[in-house]
This record gives sequence, structure tokens and C-alpha cells, in this order.
Amino acid sequence: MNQETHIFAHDDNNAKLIRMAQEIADYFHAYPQEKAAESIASHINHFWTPKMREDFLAAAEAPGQSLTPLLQAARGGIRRKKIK
Amino acid sequence: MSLIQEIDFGTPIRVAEKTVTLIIDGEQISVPEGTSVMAAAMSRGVKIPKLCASDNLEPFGSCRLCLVEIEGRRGTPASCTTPAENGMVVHTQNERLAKLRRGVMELYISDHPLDCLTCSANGNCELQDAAGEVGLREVRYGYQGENHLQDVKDESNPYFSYDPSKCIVCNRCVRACEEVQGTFALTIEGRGFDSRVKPGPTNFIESECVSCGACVQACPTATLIEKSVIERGQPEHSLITTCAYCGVGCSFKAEMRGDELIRMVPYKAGKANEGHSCVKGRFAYGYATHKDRMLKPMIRARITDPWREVSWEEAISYTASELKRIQAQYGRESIGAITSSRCTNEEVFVLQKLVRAAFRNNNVDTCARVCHSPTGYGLKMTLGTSAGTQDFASVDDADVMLVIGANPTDGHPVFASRMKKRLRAGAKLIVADPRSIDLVRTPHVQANYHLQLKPGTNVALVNSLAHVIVTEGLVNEAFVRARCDLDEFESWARFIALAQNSPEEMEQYTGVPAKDVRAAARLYASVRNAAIYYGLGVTEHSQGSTTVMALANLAMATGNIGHVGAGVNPLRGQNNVQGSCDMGSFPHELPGYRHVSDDATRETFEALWGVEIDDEPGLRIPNMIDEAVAGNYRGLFVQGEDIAQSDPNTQHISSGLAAMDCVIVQDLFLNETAKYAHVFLPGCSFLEKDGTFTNAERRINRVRKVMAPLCGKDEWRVAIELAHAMGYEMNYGHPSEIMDEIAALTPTFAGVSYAKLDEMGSVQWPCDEAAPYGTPLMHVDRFVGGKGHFMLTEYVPTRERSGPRFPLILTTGRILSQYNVGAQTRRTENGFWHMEDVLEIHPFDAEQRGIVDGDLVSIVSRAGDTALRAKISERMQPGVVYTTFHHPGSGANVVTTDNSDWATNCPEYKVTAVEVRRVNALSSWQERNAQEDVSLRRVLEATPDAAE
Ligand code: SF4
Ligand code: SF4
Ligand code: SF4
Ligand code: FES
Repeated sequence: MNQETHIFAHDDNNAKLIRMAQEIADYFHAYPQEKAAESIASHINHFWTPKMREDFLAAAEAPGQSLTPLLQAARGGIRRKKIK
Repeated sequence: MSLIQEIDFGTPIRVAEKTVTLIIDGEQISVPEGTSVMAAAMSRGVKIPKLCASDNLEPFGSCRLCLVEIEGRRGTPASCTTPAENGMVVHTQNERLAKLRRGVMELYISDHPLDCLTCSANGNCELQDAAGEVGLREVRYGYQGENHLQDVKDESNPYFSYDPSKCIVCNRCVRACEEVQGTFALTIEGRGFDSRVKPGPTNFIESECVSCGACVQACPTATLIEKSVIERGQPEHSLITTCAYCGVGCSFKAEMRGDELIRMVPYKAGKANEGHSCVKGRFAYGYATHKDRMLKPMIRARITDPWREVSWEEAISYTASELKRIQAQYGRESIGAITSSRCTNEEVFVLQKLVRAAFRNNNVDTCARVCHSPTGYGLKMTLGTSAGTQDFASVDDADVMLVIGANPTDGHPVFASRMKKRLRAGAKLIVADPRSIDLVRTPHVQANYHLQLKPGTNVALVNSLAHVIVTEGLVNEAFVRARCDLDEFESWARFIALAQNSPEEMEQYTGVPAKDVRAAARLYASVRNAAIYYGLGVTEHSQGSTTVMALANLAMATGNIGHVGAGVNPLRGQNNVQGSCDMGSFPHELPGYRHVSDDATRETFEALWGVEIDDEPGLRIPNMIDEAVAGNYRGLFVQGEDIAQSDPNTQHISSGLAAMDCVIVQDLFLNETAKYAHVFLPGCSFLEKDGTFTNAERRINRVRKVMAPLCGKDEWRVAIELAHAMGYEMNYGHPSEIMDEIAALTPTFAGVSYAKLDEMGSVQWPCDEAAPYGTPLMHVDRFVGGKGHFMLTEYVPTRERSGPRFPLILTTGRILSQYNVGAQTRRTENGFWHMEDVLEIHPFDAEQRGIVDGDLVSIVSRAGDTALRAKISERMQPGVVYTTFHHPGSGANVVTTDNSDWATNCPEYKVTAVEVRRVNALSSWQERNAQEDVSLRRVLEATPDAAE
């Protein structure tokens, strides 16, 4: 696979991670805001690899990317990769 | 080893609190009330001659061979239809009875060919036995009179033949088809001498028969007999093992002659099936010795190279060096494995151990990802454990069944027979399914409500059922107060009572009339025992996990947890889905569903395994593929799975596979995934394995080796050798030792051992000190985690919408004769019933598009397109089309998208927006795939020094 397709796949993956996070947020949307934000972060910590979490956080910060307020609120609870 | 013979008591063994005591041939015998004299005698080993009776059928009393004398009663009553009573004095043998029985036998034999010596049932024929038992020595009526000896055989079924000349019209087959299977395919036509068994108007294959084999099993003569027995002779030894197809987990006697399998006979003592079977487990085992099986390890540097056969040593050391190279170059996380739900618990356990201890990461996932991962998540969040709540027998006490997103008669046939039996006895049925599945209307069964919802609206429907229960005061408050977290219940009740969840509001999404939803909810809540059964039609959605939780909420709100006849029951797809999940196949969980971040759990594993275990979750299958496409994930061990065919969005999967450096496939066949593999390791069929499978009721069943591995190596040894080659030691001499380690590390398996399984036959986990004989029923006095948890389940429509470009919704499923990707069943005579996948389309949609039955049509989605033959069908509503995914060339998954369940990423197979139109050529994917079937599957001619 050449470099270009890799970059393309990378963007694609980031978009997918944002979408996955958004779907998790859509589920917890029924809960009160604070509990929802906490549950979203905990779900992501529970099931996503550290790399997926880092990629997501980086993608969320990318210029032009806007998260829904609930996902935005959950962001702070997402565990960073441990430096081993 | 000898042939296992099960005792036939002649009539069903009754369960009753009261017993009765009688004297049979001078011996005092006590039996449960309702037991027949025949069964009572047999319980002491006194065998009364019989022909029309069998203990899996209700007594019929037609052959008059089982006559006995009862003191104080006139005549000679039939012992099969006479219930044992207190104080009875019964004589089973005397001159008068012997004479009567000989007379009966004589009549039978005078219309029966006397070719015993050359008959295929010779040595295993009840007529022959009975003639011996009654001491028949001569037949006074010759063949001069009218007889049936010239009747023509019906050979239309691929697996068994019907030779009416040998029929004694005992009616056992007819009753087996009715009582055991519930299909009612057979009748007795004609009267008296003219009466004959009749399968529909023509022959077996064109009748309603589903080839379950129950009639063959029931037939006391050679009239209905397996063709394999006719061709190869009677078996001479057998072992008990477990079917390797679906999650029912039927027990079979594998009957052998030398090292050849003659037939699979359902085992009466098997607790999942109690002697019943379906066409797959009973007959479709031919794949195990099919010529397509690959028996030699093979490697190749590039997928476009031809395969080269190598020795096991070379294959393992090549694999290890590749995996080590990849990790050195791309990091520890760059490789992983996928375990198989078709493999044994022991094989799965060692593979996940290979990943965690030798690969040193948690990149292990299982094919359950694509079927029941939402069950794992949803039931754990609500009930506290990732498993169904009941045993199968529980359905015998259900007053109402809610069957949602499952098609038991096709997917779980033996359990479906049990359901139908209960339904015929009067239980009520609610079916929630976009298709009119067979259960909706089958002989003597008619669903009370068929809630024909639009695909993708399960949550909307279940919420509206719950809404009715909460707002109409149908909640079982005592149960909720005693057993559930009250704060959570109250917030759930407030949520579900919102008008947005009412049947009237939800009707716009579900398409189900609100009045039917209300009536169904009232029915479900009106009885003491209401049971929920669900399948992949629940899980394989973007809200799969939400629906599972919504169903658990429904059961808890009505108190339908913790007692017989109720519960929430996932019908598992593959034979060992439950087991592969239990065995720690998920990247975030160690065996027994304990999160990798739990220090105490990790410590017990680390102490025994002598390595540090990563405390962070690994990649799930879809994430593996995404990372592979992105170039970060480079090596994958695929155990007995075919993700290139079974997983959604085929083109994405194949580009992920093609981007990897080393794909290792362990399988029976060069499957679709193997086209992208660099190492092929031959696997073993279930007949070549010792191990265990765990079925949908958490029942751990033994799988026993009846023949040596054809590829020369036990499958479980491969992971061990690979671990060794990568520098990590695992030492097991036999799968039982792997089970001992599972028991030592997994609290719910603490009491499980091969010794116990041999003694008990099977055991349902949790099996531990508190429940040494296992747990048929879960959550009886308290939930596993203490309280039951109500979860909020807001309906969020799937992103997959139909619109002007893709106006139809495609949903997928399976049929009885085929199994999943079809790798096994396609290599048996089952192809007879299902030559190709077709697209079922409603006449209205077909007409609008000018499509007629049999037309080749293209199915186009946002992900891709494929072409299939159209079949006009009214099983779905207009707007919904349906297909199966049993044949690789159909490319059903080229069309499915990578939308998935929000919680588990289980793919949304059940909802894809498509357009369908007539075409005259296959799709470009299909054409390319056909070429690659050849180009990526070439095997070099074996060189003399390779693969000894
Ligand atoms: S094989 Fe099964 S379905 Fe077919 S006739 Fe026999 S009992 Fe009935
Ligand atoms: S086919 Fe067999 S089981 Fe059926 S009536 Fe004839 S002898 Fe009895
Ligand atoms: S119901 Fe399932 S387990 Fe039983 S025989 Fe059929 S395929 Fe096998
Ligand atoms: S066995 Fe009793 S009448 Fe046939």
C-alpha cells in the first residue's frame, strides 16, 4: 500500500472514531448530562485501545472538527495512554 | 469400544410427586404415577415385547404385541397404554400370552420380506428382535395372498430411504414427525390392509419433510433407514459427542465402523436435545471427510504466489519468525488473533492465551463480535452476567413466548420443536419480526400476534411494549422492589412512560399498529411465566445492545426472571458462541468476563502464566481491519473463521487483509479468508477432537474424538507450538488439562472437570462450590451482581436510511439446511435444498421494477453491489428484501455496510438500504471474486521432500 492510501485510511479511521464516539454519546443521551458524560468516557476507556483513544482525542482537536456538546463534555474523562 | 445402546422404556418416563407400587412377575416395583405398565416393567429390566411403542412417543396401542395379564382384570390389556396402579399384579409371560403374541407376529411376518440376512437393518431391527422374543418359528400364511412386497422404494431424500415393502404400519414415524418434530409431514393413508405411510402427495423430498431424521430414528424396521447404513453396513462402536453446528448443542452418538463414521444418532440422555436432531447434525457431516479438506500446512510469501506445502515444523517456525519480525518492526500491538466459535473451549482458551502471554497484547477477538457481542454487553449491564437465564427445558412451562429477531425453526431447529410442542399444548405466542417466519403459522400453531416491524426499529417496538406495561399498571412491583435497583427503576419508568415511547408515537417508525402492541404487551404481562427468546435479528443492529437491554428491562419489570418458564434467552448462532465468549475471547476481558484492567484478576493469571498481562483493551475485529488498512496492524491469526465472507463490507475486509504482512488461517478448507493468507494450517473436524462446547443454555458438553486428526495434529497443539516458537511455554498433555486450568482461573468454571462431565453428561455454568452440579436457572434469589439494573433505552434510528437512491431495506438471515458461510453444509447433500442464495422480494416491489421470479437482479447499496436471482415472496412487507449469506459467490456482504452496534461494533447486517433492478450480468465484484477463486488459491504440486 502506498503512502497516499495510508494517509487517506488514517483520515478515514479518525472520522470513524468520531462517529463511533458519537454513537456512544447518542445512547447515553437519555441520561442526565453529568452521568451521560461520565458513562461515555467510561465506555470508551473500557473498550477502546489506548491508541484509538489517543487518535480520537487528536482528531477531536483537529481544526474544523466540532463535537456535540455531550461528547465534548465526555472528552475530559477519556483516559490518556500511559507512558510505559 | 462397543455400540452404546440406550434403554427404550416403551413409553415416556413421567415426572410425578406421587408414586404407585405394583407387582410385575412377582417383583414389587414403585414408579411415578402415570407411568405405563410397560415402562414400569422395563425400569426393572423386564422387557415386554413391543412394536408400536417407543419412549419418546405417546403410547398408541396398535400392534397388540405388548399384551399382559393383570389379576382381576378381564382380557389381555396392552401394557403400553395401561397406567400402572397401586396394588396391580401383572404377568408379562405365560403360555397364553406367548401364543397370542406369536399369532400377532405371524401376521406381521406374513407380509414382510424374509430377507433378514441381506437386509440393511440386520442385527438392529426390532421386528427381528420381537420375532425372537416371542419365539416365532413358523409362518402359516404364505406370500400367496395379498401383500406389499412389490411396493416401490422412495429414494428421494438424499440421506434416508423409505422402503414400504418393509413397513409394518406401526405409526411410529407419523407420531415422531408430529410429536417430536412438529412438522406433520406424514400420514397413514388408506385403511386396514391398504394402509401405508404417506409423505404428502408425492414423495419425501417434495413433502413438508425437513429431514430431521426423527421418523428414521423411530422406525423399528428397515423401512426408514439411513442410506449410509445401506451403503456401508451397521456400525459397531460409538462415542457420545456434540453437534458442531448451532448453539442448541445436541448430543449425538457418533456410530462408527472401524474409523469410518456410519451415522450420527441423537442421544436421548443429551439434555439439550433429549434424542432429537435436525438435518444438519443428524446427516450433514460429510464435509468432515470431503475431498476439499486441506490436510497439509502451506506457506507463501505473497498472496499472489501459489501455496507451497511444508512440514508442520516449517509452518510453525515460519509463522513465529514472521510474527516476531512484524512486532520488532511495527510494535507489540501490530499483531493479534481471532478465535472461533466453532472451536472447542480448550482451543479457544489456548489461542487467547497465546495472544495475551506470547504476543503480549490483548488483540484477541472472536466471531461472536459479529453476532452476539451485544448480548454479552446488554445482559451484563442489566442482569449482571453475559448469558441467557434459563435451560431449554424451561420453555415447557412458558405460558407466553415472545420471539423477537429469531427464526428458531431454521436457526435452532431442535429447540424450535420443543417450542412448538409447548405451543401446541396451549402456550401463547408473540412474534416480532419483519418477516413472516415459519413459527408464525405452522401445523397446529398460530402466533397470537405477529408484530411485523420495519427492520431497524426493535428498540422502538420494545420500548412501546414497556410503555404499555408501565402506564397500564402492569409492573410486578413486588419483584422490582425486592430485586432491582429502585432508583434506576424509577428513572427508567419515568423515561419509558414518556409519550414519545407510546405505541401510538412509535407506530410511525415500527409500522406496527399500536393496538396490536398494546394487546401483545398485555398478554406478555398477564401470565406468570413469560419467556423472551431472541436471536441475531436483535443483536445485529446499530442499537443491538440497546435492544438486549430493553428486553431485559421488560423481563425485570414483569418479574419474569429467576423462575422456570420465564427469562431472557439469546438463541446463539454457532455451536460454541457462548463458550468462546466465556473463554476470554474479547479484547477487553479475561476468561469469565473480567475486565483486563481489574488488578486482582490479572494477578491470578499472571501468577499462573508467569507473564505480565496488558491492562488495556486490545483491538476488536472491525478496529483490527481499520488499523490494517491504515498500515498499523500487520499480522493476524484466524482460527476457523471466514471473515472475508461472513463480515460486512467485504471490500473493506479484503483490503484490510490484503494490507497485512502475515495472515494465518487455521481451517478445514481454503476458505475466502485464506485467499489473503500467507500461512495455512489445517484444522480438525469435530470428529477429530477432544474438548467441550458450551451451548446457548450455558451447558458444557463433551466433544469426543472418534477418529484421529486427518492432518496429523490436534488443533489445540498448534497454538502451544506457536507459543513455544515465540518463546513462551504452555504445557498440556490433553485438553482435560486445559479445562483444569480454565477451572483454576475462572470462578464460574471452578467445579468443572472432564471427570465431572463424564459423570454428569454435561453441566451448566456457574458450576462452583455453591452449585457443584451447575446452574440450570440463573438469578433465582438474587441477581449475579446483587440487584437488577434498568437501563434507559432511547430509540435512535439507524444512520442507514432508505431514500430515493436506495429505496428498499435489505435484511439477511439463514435457512435450515445451510449453516452460516456454508463452508460445511455446502460440502454435504444439504445443497439439495439450497443451491444458491436468492433475493426474496415482495410482488409489489418486483412489479414496480419489472422483475419476475428467477430474474437476475442487482442489489446496490452504499457499500457495493452484487447480483442474485430474485424470488417473489410475500414473507416480507413491501419495501423490505431479504437474502441469506451461505454462498461466497453471492457476495451478500459486499452490500452490507460497516455500520455497527454503538456499544460493541457488532455489524448492522439486518439493515442495509438498497436498490434492486434487473440485470443480465453478475457484478464486477463477483467476476473478480470468481477469478480470484482460482488465482489466489493455487497450490504447487507437492515436491517429494515437502510435508512428510
Ligand atoms: S425426517 Fe423429520 S420432518 Fe421428515 S418426515 Fe421424518 S420426522 Fe417428519
Ligand atoms: S415406516 Fe417404520 S415407523 Fe413408519 S409405520 Fe412403517 S414400520 Fe412403522
Ligand atoms: S439443532 Fe443445532 S445442535 Fe442440534 S442437530 Fe441441529 S444444528 Fe446440531
Ligand atoms: S407396543 Fe403396546 S400395542 Fe404396540
